[in-house]
Amino acid sequence: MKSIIRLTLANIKRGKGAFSGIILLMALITFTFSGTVSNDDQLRSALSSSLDEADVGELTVFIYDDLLTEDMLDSIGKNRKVKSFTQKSSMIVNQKPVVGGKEQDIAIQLKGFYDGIKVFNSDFDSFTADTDLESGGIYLPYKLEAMEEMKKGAEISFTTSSGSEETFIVRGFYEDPVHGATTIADNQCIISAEDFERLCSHELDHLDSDVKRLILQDELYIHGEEGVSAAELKRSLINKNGIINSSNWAVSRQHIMDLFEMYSNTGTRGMAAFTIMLLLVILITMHNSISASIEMDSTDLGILRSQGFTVGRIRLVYVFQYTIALIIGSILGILISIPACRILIRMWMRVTGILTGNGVSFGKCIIMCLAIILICLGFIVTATRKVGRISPVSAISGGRTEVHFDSRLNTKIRQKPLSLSLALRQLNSRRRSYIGTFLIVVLLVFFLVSIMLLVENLDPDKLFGTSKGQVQLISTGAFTMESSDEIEAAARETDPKAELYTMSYHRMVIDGEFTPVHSFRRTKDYYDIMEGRAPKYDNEIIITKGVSEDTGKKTGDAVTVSYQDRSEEFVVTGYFQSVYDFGLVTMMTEEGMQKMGYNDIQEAQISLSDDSKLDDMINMLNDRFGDSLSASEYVENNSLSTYRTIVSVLMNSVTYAMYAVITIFAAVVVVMVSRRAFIKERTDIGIFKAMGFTASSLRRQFAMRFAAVALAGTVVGEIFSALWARKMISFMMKIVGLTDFKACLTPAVLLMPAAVICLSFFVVAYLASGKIKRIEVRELITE
Amino acid sequence: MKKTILSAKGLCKSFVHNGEQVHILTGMDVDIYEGDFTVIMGASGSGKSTTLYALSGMDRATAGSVMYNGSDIAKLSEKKLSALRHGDFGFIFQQMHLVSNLSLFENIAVPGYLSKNRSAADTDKKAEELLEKMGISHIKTHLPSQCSGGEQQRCAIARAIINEPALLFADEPTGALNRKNTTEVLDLLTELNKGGQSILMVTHDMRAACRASRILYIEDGKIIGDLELEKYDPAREKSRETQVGAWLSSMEW
Repeated sequence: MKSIIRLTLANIKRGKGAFSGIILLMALITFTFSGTVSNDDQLRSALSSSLDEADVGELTVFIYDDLLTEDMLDSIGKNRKVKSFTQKSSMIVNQKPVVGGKEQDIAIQLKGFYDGIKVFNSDFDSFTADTDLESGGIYLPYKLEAMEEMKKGAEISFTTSSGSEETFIVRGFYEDPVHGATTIADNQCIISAEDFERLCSHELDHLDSDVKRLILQDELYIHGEEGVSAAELKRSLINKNGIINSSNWAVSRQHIMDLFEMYSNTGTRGMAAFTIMLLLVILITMHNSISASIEMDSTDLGILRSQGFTVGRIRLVYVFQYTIALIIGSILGILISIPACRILIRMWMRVTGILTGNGVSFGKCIIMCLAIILICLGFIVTATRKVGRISPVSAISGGRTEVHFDSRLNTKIRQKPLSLSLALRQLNSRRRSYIGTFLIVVLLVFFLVSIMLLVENLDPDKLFGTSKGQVQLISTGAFTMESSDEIEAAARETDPKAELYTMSYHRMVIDGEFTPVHSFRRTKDYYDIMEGRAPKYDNEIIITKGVSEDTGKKTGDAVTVSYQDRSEEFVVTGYFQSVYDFGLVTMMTEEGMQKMGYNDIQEAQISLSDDSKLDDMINMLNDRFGDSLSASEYVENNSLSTYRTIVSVLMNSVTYAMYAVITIFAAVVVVMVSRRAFIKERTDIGIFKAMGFTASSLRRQFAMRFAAVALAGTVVGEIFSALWARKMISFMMKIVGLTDFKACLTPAVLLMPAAVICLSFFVVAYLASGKIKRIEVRELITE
Repeated sequence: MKKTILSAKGLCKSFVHNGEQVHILTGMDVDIYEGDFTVIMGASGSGKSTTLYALSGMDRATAGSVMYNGSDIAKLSEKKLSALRHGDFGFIFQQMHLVSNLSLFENIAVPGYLSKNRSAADTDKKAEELLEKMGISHIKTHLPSQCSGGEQQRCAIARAIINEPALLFADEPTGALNRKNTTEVLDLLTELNKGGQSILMVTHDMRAACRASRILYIEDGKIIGDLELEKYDPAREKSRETQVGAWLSSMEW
């Protein structure tokens, strides 16, 4: 054992076997895994605690106060599957709030102060004990803190539905485990109990019941009995007393958590794919390195064998060597991830609004590292089998190997371009040395093209179903679906090609599943239709793959859509794709929505064929229909802007990170392969120098070899991308509702990775070949 | 009057070995003449190979000058030295040092392609001629590992002269060859010299030294003997051997 340890340490000391390269790769894989898993674990743990503290059970139901009856409450209490429930109230504010004189494009709800509220301190790294809220004060959810005007001490004003103008001073920000994520449009703000009581009484006194119904809301936090799932609970409540049928939203605890974890889960899936890729790279690199090492040290190994070392002992040296590298890399990766986790978790707080711990999940990381080390060990044992073929005599006598001369694959040497033809010949002669590099490039290209496809095709308009009209219409009272035709006809007097787009959104029960339903005036223009067609008639509905899986329904099937006491049959016309509610959403026509008893319009825009008619259109609409709507130039709403910004920042970060990773990979791979190449080709390099080749032309030749390998790998990688990239992205993005990734492999998507990778490999190889300058011709000389 | 092709003045070369400075050449002065077949001889470790490399620019002198065509080789940049190596000088190594994955034809042609004054077609034609002259055109597509030592060395000679160098340097070109191949290689070099090729060769083989028209004897980094000879005539080999042998004995070789 002592001799094995000595040999191992000697190898490490002499930098044999890509020791530092393996450490770096392992550190990268551990760091990536640790950062992602730790972030997920911390978020899940913090969110779960926060939900428990807020008394959120398996099911949370939001229902208009007017619709909640004593019978419903009684029924819930007597339901055998329900263990307990609590009730809170909130008030929806229909008008947008104004802060610092600027209208903020956000939807707010008000809730009365409750015990146990968690208010952030001024550094947002813990909670303050002093949470008392006086009359006139308001706590905002943390996600609003990112908005420029929303700071502590700011005045926030809004007008209630009854016309009462209210102003509150922002006293701080709190953690909201139900609505607090940026993925949820609602923003629940906390005011003092007395202010809430006062406002509710005022609204109840001053509003007629139709409007009252749309602003006062009850929240029921229902806990199921042991072993009862949220789905069972929901189904039992749908069947028993219709509370689900009458609700605005019935959401499971898991669904709430999914909303908070949406982006980090997507990131986790991406990182999982990335980690697997890194692992493959480690295995390829190790195999390469071991083979080369055995080849180069064949004389030394033969000498060891002649001294009595068995094949098993020699293989143990390699096992120890690489295991040490893997362990060092693991430790390094975990250590680096400690500060990195802190930064990452703070970043995610902006998205989730949840104060998360910043510890590393050491347990999972260590298990992952051990698993990788075990896989690698298996690989090492296999790769070192060729040690058995080294005999003491053949190694000591120079280990002459046969030269294989395959004329079919030999490239011709030409005067022009001489460097390139020599580079290709060198590459051809030692093809096997570059197989690892080739495979790594294939993987990198596949990944890069996939990311680029994702970035190029994340069109929020198609994902959220937003229209592109230049004129925005906001209902001030009587703007309903019944007036759509009249408004569009009037618009066409100003612009004959003007089109009215409307959207309405309500939750209904579809075959027992509580699902959001959108209705559009022009159904086919909003989303990507994956199969079938958009609904045209009042008895047609189109669903997503997610809804299809939940309900078991497909194109051509009939579904029952119900809300309160209405229930109608609809026919499924096909599948579409949307990221609303993780893709669990459906779509019908305006007529279909009217059949279900809804007539309201929540969003409307008019698209113009001629932008110069914008002002005329706005003036005409305000003049003619001012009593029911207000027309203005369309400005993208905050949520969508935020989404675009988040997606843009996320995707740009991922893209730049990928380019950085590729450069690092190129550097590691090239340095490892080139070290070996220099040792093997030292004499050839000296010969070329003696012939009159300059160091810079030899360096170019060397770099061209790697560029050629990179090009070959890129071509194959792009073929794989064309075949499988979409599938991989669909796997990653399914969690947000993107089940069918429609993406085109444009020239930009194909050429960019090719250019980046070939250039990276060329540049790194050129830099790594600096030692060519130092190879003296006299090294050829023998006395 | 012979024309000087290469002139070294005060040539010094030192190495650091185990922390101590070792002086191999200690102020050597030597002129190499055009058309000569000059041989450098000396005891092992006397500095004969070091002299060759310093004069050819393969190694940098520690001090002194080596003038060629008005330029001091010892002070030329790497780029200019590269130009010298493919344009003006040819080098033959003891271990042949052919590029292992180029065929014999390609080993000869590739340095020819570096010349900007000749087309690829002309280079290829010249390479074919040299292969024919060296008697290895029948194995021109073979890799070096598929050829004997003599065949490889003949290829190396052809490679060294494809660009018609002003001066051909040879470092013990027969050192790794058997007797038969040694004779063949020496015959080739003699023939090249007869055709006007200037050659500077290091050897410890007396038979090789007998082919020279001038023998320089080095001891302790300095030239202590300079013997001029008639052009080599195979008919008078025996007497030449006696003459050279006697001279070398006087040098205490």
